[in-house]
Amino acid sequence: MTPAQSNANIPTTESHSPTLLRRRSQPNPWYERCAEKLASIATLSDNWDSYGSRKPSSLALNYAHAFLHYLRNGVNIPEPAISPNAVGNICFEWDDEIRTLTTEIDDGGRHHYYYCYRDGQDVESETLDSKLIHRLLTKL
Amino acid sequence: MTGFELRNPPVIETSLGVQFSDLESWTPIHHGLFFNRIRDRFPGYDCREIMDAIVETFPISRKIRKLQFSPGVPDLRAEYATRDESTLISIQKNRFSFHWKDSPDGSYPRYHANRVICRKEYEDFQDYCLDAELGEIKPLICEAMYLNRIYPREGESLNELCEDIFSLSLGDHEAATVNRTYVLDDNRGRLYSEINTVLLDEPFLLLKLTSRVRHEGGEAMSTLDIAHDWLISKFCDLTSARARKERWEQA
Repeated sequence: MTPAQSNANIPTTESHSPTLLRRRSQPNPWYERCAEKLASIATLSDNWDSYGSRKPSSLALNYAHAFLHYLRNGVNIPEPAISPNAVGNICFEWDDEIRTLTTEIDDGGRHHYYYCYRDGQDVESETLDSKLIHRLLTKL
Repeated sequence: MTGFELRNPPVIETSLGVQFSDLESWTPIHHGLFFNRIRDRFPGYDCREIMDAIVETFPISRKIRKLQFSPGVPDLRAEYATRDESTLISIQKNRFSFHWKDSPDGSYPRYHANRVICRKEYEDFQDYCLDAELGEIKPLICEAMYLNRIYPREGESLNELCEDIFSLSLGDHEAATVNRTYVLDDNRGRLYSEINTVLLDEPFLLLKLTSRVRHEGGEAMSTLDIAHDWLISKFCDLTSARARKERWEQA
């Protein structure tokens, strides 16, 4: 079996195909942990933080789940910290020595994101395109 | 889409719907209370499992394992049907939809007529939510779905039918499915086209078109119009002008 055949269902990771997103052959090791975290967030009720926060929106959770799945096999994706927020949206956050990236996913699937790179540039905006978040995340 | 009409359309079922933010205080008892309000028009009642949320991501996501929600009071969906069961309303905590299906003696009443009923019932549902202090409906996505059954002519195979209508060669096959998706400008929405061969005693092609458009303000029905017009436009793109004229009597 040639390498191409053995990975027939996986997009190529060859460096001469720069237009294709690089994919891991196995899910990131943190994927299951994050999926469990989302499942536990889904069990929260109204006032889960005793400060009157709304329970996580089922639609935002579904979009968060789809986004997590989108990152599942991404290369160079560190583990996100996932949390609900007060209005029922779901937040993904990466904060390390390279960058801070926070994206809040609402019940329409929109990312409201804040990105701060260590060289000082920062961006706050929103998008429907998960690819953009992925690009920010893997920008070195 | 103006100026487009088929005198003998192949449509057998349509659905016009709105997905909105969760009504947080919605409980199963609200299904019953709402039923009381509309039972003169929709006397049939059925309780069903909640439909999965519409999740339109960009780029498109593959089918993924369903997210498991907490045990507790299960979320339900209720269907309210007219006496002849040709139309029904489906409601759950984050979706309203109006369905029409072909009845043996009925012909397709057209989008305009269905839209009038859909709008009236949707507005009544909005009023109910306010009366019951469930909050305001916040639309997120509007969806139009048309299911079309296309029979071959006498002596015509499904391959020939598919070639004639869709200019698609299915080649040698036992059963076939052709799925395509399209994106509306700036990720505003997505349209799904599915063509299936159905091998019953009388084989036919089943064409399902589902158009979903993100609501960006204004009336939900205006967004639904965009979804509908896009769907009709895509129907015209996918089918040959000759087939529309000869088979379905396009005016």
